[in-house]
Amino acid sequence: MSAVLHWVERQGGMLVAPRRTAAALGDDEGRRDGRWALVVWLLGVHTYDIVEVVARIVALRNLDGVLGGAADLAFALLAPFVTIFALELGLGTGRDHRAGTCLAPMLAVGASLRLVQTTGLWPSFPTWLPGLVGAAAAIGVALYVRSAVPVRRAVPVRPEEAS
Amino acid sequence: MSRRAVIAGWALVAVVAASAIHSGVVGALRFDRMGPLGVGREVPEFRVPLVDGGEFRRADLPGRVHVVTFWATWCPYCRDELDDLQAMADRWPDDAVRIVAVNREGGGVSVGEAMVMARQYRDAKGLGFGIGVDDGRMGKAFGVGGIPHTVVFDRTGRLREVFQGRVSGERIAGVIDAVVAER
Repeated sequence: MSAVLHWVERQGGMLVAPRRTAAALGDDEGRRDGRWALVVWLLGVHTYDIVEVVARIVALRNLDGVLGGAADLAFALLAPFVTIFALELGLGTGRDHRAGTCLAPMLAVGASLRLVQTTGLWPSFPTWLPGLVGAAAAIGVALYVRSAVPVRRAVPVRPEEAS
Repeated sequence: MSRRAVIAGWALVAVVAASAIHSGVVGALRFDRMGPLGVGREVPEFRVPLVDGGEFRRADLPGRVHVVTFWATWCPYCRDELDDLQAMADRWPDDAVRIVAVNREGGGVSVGEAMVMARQYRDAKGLGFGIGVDDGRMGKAFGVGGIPHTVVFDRTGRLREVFQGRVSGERIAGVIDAVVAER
């Protein structure tokens, strides 16, 4: 099965059966989930902001527009970045490699809130709400699965130390 | 992994995709109204009173290069930029380059109060260019978010450069030099 299908299953598993999913993951599984989560967060929550950044770059046609746009995108990634650090702290040493996988609830909450906002079902809430509620959900799941995550063995520095 | 996990995973993908597509379509439909009024776009009608009497209007733009900056007395970056603009006002004759600083005091300050504050600031700093006061409509028409926000028009009244935030006097002067040199 492709890496994408595995990713979809892991994310779904973290939503419906987080402890079982976290316990069943192999050491090498989900190592890049944090990076993918940043991309999915940008798409699901900040697509409108990305369009605004493009509009500003087109309007200004100078370096200010590009730098301002880069700053806006960096700001949009602040919530998942801070949450990953919080998840690593919450999971603790040896389990912190699951922090990226634990972002699944944050993606679900963030994208759902943004969708109900843009479709007008709940048009007016603060821009920070998806990040805050999503981070709370992710941290809650991380604390819930913590004891089920097998502690990863320390990786030796040199191959000869592996024996 | 369970079938429920697969379904939940694809549901997450569907929500993310729906959110991204909907936001993208809404954004694309509003694209022209997003961000500041951009280079090359049609300049909207505007009219602001000047502290010395009279008005500054879109119809005033053709004929000479205009530099318009949006500012407020409480904004330190704007004050620095006004100092730079004063140096530029001394460099180019008024019939070649006209500088107008449009005050956006905000914070519930009325246009009348802003007129007094802007005039007092102009007198205290010895600024020799026009000072206008915006009731909010001109700034909205130009898509002004933060200040300072500075725009340069060429002799035909076309918008040629937009600066958001504080920029050096040299950068603004460079643009003015280029626009003034055009025939």
